Amino acid sequence: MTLCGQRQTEPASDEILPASITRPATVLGICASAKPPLGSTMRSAVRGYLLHALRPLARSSPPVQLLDLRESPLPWFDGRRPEAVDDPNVALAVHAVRSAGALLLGLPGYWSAIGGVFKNFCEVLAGPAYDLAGEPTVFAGKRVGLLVVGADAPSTSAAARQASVIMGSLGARLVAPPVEVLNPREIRSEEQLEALERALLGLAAATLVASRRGETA
Amino acid sequence: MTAQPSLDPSKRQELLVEGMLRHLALLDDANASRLSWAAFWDLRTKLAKAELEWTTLSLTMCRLLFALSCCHQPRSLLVLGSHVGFAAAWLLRDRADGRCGAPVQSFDGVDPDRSANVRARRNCELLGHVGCTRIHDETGQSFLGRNRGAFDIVLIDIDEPVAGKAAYAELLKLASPQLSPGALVLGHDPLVPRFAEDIAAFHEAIETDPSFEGPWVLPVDDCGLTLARRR
Repeated sequence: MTLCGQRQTEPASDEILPASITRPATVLGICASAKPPLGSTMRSAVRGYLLHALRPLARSSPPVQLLDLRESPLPWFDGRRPEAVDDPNVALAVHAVRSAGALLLGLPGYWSAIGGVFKNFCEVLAGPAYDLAGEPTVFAGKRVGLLVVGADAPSTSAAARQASVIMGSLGARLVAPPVEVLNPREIRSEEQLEALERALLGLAAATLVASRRGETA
Repeated sequence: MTAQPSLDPSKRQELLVEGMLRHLALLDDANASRLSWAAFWDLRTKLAKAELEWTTLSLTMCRLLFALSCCHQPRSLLVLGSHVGFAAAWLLRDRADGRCGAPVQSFDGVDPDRSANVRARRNCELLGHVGCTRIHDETGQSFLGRNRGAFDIVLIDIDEPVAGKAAYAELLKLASPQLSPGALVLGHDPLVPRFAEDIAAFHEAIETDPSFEGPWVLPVDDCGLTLARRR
């Protein structure tokens, strides 16, 4: 029996570490929402739900991390491969994705489609499709959990479908069907909140299991 | 303002464990009623009276072992490297508590550490497992070499002073003929860096044996748990 150095208590802190250029993550959470604007106290539902799913994983080993594209914004995709872009946030994102055991992606759905931050993230990290001729992207073989928070039901469903297809075309595999939050403003009852909690933690659990599966199978 | 889920940290850890077991198809609607977290907490209170070493497993790992036992309903349990019986206690559950299904009928704990085994026997007595328990003062290789059993769950948790976890792969091979169909093999400590080579050999032994599904590594804490299933 090996001493884990962990006491028989619930985690005292469920802080999620930021994505690192030096340490791999078991699960890398990626928040593909630029909300709120600078100076605003408004909250992003995508970020809130994503953090809620990640926090119970805070004691996993190695620790989970968060790549927040609001805090580490990427330049617009301009046709270059990621390694040709001289930008520390691109380098951080590529390294964090490549070294992570699995990804838990949170993205918004607006106007019947995925949010632009997510699409740009995919394009910047995967590079120019027309020049790659089947070369694997940084997402190749990655196990991915998808959390889609929409402005309305049609936008959520459309974004979930699109994000699933995009991940597949990048070479990633979903660990489970996307969790779709149709409209956070309509979640009011205790039953709805508990169902949402179960869905979020179910997705987190599937992503956690998949994070180590790739090493050995 | 959007509403945020607000369950307490304990409930969230329980849902996380449930989510992992559902993802691995070990928990479903048919056996969900056997997983009682109230029984988990009652067992924890009961274990506080035993002379166990509380720091050896994280609370989430205890939940995971308990939930695996509730879902799988083992009749026979083997723990190689049983030490004072702390990990086994979660797999054995509380025999007097009917909320988690049928109690384990047979438990073999194996450890060459005689002083730990004295405490393991005392703890099993305190916890009401004495009638079904056999604690063996020997190595796993020795026990498996002479025993002929059909185990539903085998937990490997040996930690030899010099060799560490080097015998995990050998113990898996020795235990393999003594596993019942669908049996679970658990290995503690796959994430401890100093055991990396030993664990890699253990995982390779699972991967190359077509009679097993897995391995899955559940990284719930610094130690982690490997899980494989006999087809």
